[in-house]
Amino acid sequence: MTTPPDGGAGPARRSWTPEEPDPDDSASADAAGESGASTPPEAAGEPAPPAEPGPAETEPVEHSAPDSTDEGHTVLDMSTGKGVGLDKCPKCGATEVEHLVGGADLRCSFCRHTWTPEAIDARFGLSEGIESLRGFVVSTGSSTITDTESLVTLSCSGCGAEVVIDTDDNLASRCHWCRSTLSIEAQIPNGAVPDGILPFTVPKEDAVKRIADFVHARRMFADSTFKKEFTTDNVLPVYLPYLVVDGNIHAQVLGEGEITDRTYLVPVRRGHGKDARTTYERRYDFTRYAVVRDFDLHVDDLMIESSEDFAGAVAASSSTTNIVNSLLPYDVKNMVAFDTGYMRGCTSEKRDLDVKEVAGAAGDMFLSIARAKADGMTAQYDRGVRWDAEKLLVKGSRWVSVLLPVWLYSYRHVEGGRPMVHYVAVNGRNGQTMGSVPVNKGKIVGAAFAVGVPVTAITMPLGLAAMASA
Amino acid sequence: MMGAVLVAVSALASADATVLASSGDGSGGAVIFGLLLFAAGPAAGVGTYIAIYNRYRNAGERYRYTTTTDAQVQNPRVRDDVTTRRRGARNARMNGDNRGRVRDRLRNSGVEF
Repeated sequence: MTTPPDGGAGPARRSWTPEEPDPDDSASADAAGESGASTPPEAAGEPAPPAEPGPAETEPVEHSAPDSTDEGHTVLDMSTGKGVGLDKCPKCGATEVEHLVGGADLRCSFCRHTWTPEAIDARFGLSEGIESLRGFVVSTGSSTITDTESLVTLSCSGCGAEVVIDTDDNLASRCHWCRSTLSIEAQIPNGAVPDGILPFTVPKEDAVKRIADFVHARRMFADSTFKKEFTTDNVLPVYLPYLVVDGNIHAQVLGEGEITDRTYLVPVRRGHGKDARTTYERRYDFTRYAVVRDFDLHVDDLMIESSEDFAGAVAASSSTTNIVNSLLPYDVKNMVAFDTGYMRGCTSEKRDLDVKEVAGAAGDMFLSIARAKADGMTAQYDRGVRWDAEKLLVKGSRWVSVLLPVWLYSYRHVEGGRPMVHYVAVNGRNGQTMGSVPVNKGKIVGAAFAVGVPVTAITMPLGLAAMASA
Repeated sequence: MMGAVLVAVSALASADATVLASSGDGSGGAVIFGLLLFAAGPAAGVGTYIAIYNRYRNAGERYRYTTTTDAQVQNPRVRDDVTTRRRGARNARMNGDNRGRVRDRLRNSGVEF
């Protein structure tokens, strides 16, 4: 969706105003605009020519600077340092940037210069200082969504045209006049731009093969319409939004445990008269303890969905979102600063859940981790432990937003009058594959009878004979 | 698949044998053994249905965050106070043992941020 250079954005659209263009930029922009309009580089099969590099495009655009607090949260400034507008090759200034799948490198299609965006875990110390976290520490890209408008109008600093991007689906678009690529890489307050991204390392051919193998291994009892309609043409690269949280936690779990002191056999007399006989039964002596496990817990990189479409019970009732969930965890230590160069040819989901909306789920997950740790501290209780109470204080948490790569095949199927979206998905980093294939329940029932009837034919007479002999 | 069924049947049979041995009552044990054999066929059919359905739908697959997340325990404080000693219990496991069921929330459960 675009608007002409002299067209104004609609009232509902959010407009991002870049800095005043300097005369040199205007001149080069005009030239770029003319050449782009008359002979679009893509039509000629060539990458777009480099726009004149200038300071205006690389400066952050005007947007409200992060406050020291965001709804009472401490803001961790992870601004990309980039702005909104032309996303250029650092060497020649061209806007044709592509991701070299297999690593994190980006390459300029014009001058072939290759570079790697900065890894952000080390730069921002995201694996350090968990023990000193207090309250909510929320990164720039995880801050509260205050602007729900998806359409963002960019003013092309190459030629002055205004280009509208629908951030629900894209974070980059081509200027229709000068063919430059415009992108949004500053964390704007509508949740569209994350702090970091994990680029795809699994190539499409590999992902397609994994999905095809997964489905073909499950053809026998699959729904017949699904088998006819399945095609790997529908496998798409998607970036899904997650919040990665660290927690500085204090946990206390209380209960009772039992330790066996002694086991022995005791004689038990059964029956009467001439049928009386003695058998032996095992008995146990044990000691019961009141058990308390109280500890600090430092959790690093717990991942939580931050798109409503892929999180929560509502989503799960109409789609098999657990499949995508099962691909976690990802190697988020390797995430790099967000760059729209990774997004070419991919779709992405926008973050629409805030920290406060997923904090409850995070607390529940922290609690489960704490319980698992407490379990590991009770090995001596050979008869078991019955936990009765659990308390968790999250002294501090740190939240960072990230886009994670998924190769996704989806299929809509109606089951019992209820639509259900089935996913087969591949982790875009390590190739782990999981899926849900719609089934033909009649065939499965047939298979169950095919097994159950012969087993019944063998065991039922034996059972009757055993009961008759009693 | 038949192999799995046979394993299940043999497991049932061994369970029956255990019941027999521990009960010490010949007629009662034989009745239970017979009932279990009687039910083995339908159980095999139901088990087959569940196994195939799970293989296709994977409805139970989830992020295994309790085992895959890096979490370090610091400053552990441990209390184990004797409350009771008991003799002659019949069960090898304690009642209500919930170790390992870490995602089940307890009645007295609280999280504070």
